[in-house]
Amino acid sequence: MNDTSMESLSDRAIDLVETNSVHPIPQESYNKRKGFFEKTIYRLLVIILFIAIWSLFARLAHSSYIPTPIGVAKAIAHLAVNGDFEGYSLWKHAWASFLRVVSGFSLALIMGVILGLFMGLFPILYDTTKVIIEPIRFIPPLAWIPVAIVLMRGFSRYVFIIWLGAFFPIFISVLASIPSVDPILKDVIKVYGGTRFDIIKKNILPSITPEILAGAKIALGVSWMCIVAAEMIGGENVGLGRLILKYADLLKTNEIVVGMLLIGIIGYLSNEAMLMLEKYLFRWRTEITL
Amino acid sequence: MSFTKPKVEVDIAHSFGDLLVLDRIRFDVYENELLCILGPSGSGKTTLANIISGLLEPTQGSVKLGNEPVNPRKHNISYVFQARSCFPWRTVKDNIGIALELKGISGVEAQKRTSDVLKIVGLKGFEDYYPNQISGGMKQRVAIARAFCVDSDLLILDEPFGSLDAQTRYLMQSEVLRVWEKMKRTVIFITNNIEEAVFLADRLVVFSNAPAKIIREVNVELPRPRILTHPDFLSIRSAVSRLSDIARDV
Repeated sequence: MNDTSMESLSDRAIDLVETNSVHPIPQESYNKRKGFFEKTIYRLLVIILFIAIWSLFARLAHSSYIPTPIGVAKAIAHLAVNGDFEGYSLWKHAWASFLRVVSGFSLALIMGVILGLFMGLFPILYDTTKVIIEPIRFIPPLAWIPVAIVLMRGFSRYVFIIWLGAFFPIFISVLASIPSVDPILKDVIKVYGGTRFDIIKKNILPSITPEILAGAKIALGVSWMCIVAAEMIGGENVGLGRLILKYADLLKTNEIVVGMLLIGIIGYLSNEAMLMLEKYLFRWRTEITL
Repeated sequence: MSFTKPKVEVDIAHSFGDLLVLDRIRFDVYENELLCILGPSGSGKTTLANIISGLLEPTQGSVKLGNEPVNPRKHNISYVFQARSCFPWRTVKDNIGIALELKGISGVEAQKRTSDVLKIVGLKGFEDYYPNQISGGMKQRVAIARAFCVDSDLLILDEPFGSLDAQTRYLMQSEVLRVWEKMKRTVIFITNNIEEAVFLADRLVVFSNAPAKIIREVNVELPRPRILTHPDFLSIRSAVSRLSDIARDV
């Protein structure tokens, strides 16, 4: 072993490691194996099945107010072309809600991460302020609506309510994930001359990003729940929640379903966007398969 | 050794609260020397490594690097930890690169250093792999590559091959020697394996059990490459072995 040349030693090292390697490239998971075409077919089948069951159910029920697939389709066409009875188009409603959610959510994300970091890194801060923070966390955002109506106008009302819903899942996720950051990596950064800021930027933040995203997904769902309820009570003329309420007053269930459908679609698309983001950001994680 | 001024002067004692872990440790390390610290498990070697690297403040005394108290922000210190120290979210290339980032080296210079050091440790072709795709030995090689890509004043390796299998261990020992001979550095190598210590070291410091004291310093004056079965090697090895036995009983 001692009289082999310098170059060949390295080649042998590579050979040895390759045969002994316990971690080959991770097996492609189910998601990548099945073709895109196949998956789309399956999904379409599920949708068709759903519509069929829905039709059947509508036929069997004896109420003339039950929304039917055909009724909803007609309502979509009507609303898409003419807008609602006050003249606001579907797009305007969807965009209004979307804007409010994005604003509240983004603010909650930034503040949740920053405050979560501070409280996580300086536990004494959390320990003293939790008397205020925790009770607020348990108050449903919707209970704040009367306060929002009195103290704020228009757009900021909604952003406030959404912020209340979105902030806490993110804040708690960040707070809870700080203790599980690997301390050895902090030492690596310190020994190679890094500052505390380097540790936050290069160790803590990348380490807790999965948890931030998990909290963000929850926060997004909560945000949508908040916005619809807030719009129902809030007082503006546009918004998907408002759209639903307008037609609820008229007992027009098909139009109500259109509103619900829009909310569902936007929610689904945002979730898909998050999943794609997750997949891209977390290529380095080992996938567990049973 | 020549009568030059030592590069690193260690003169410390350390306790964790009431527990005395390191009992008056006093030794020097000279420029470009490969010094091995040999001691049984649990004797406080990692604590000593943390103190020498500047990560931990000793409760008594100090470590001087080139006449100044050691400071990772001021001096260039490289450290290969005992545990796996790869950043899971960074590729092999970026794991090595983080040391360069922290020292402010970027661009073409950084790329050149990274690819040079990757070639030397034999990881060429694995630049874009993630730590969860490579074996334990390869992860340690990444840590070694990272240690060598910066111009360090002092390089510390804390039982880096402890959890590797015997064959990989032999290969890695030769790799470290090879890299050290190619890119001269002052190295402190910590181990609990007598053969490894005698194989690698210019000089050996034998430690006792906790509370750790230095039993003896041994000069290993064998030419390299060293042959494990050579009678000179074996006689030094058994001498050190006897010292270690004393160390265990102290």
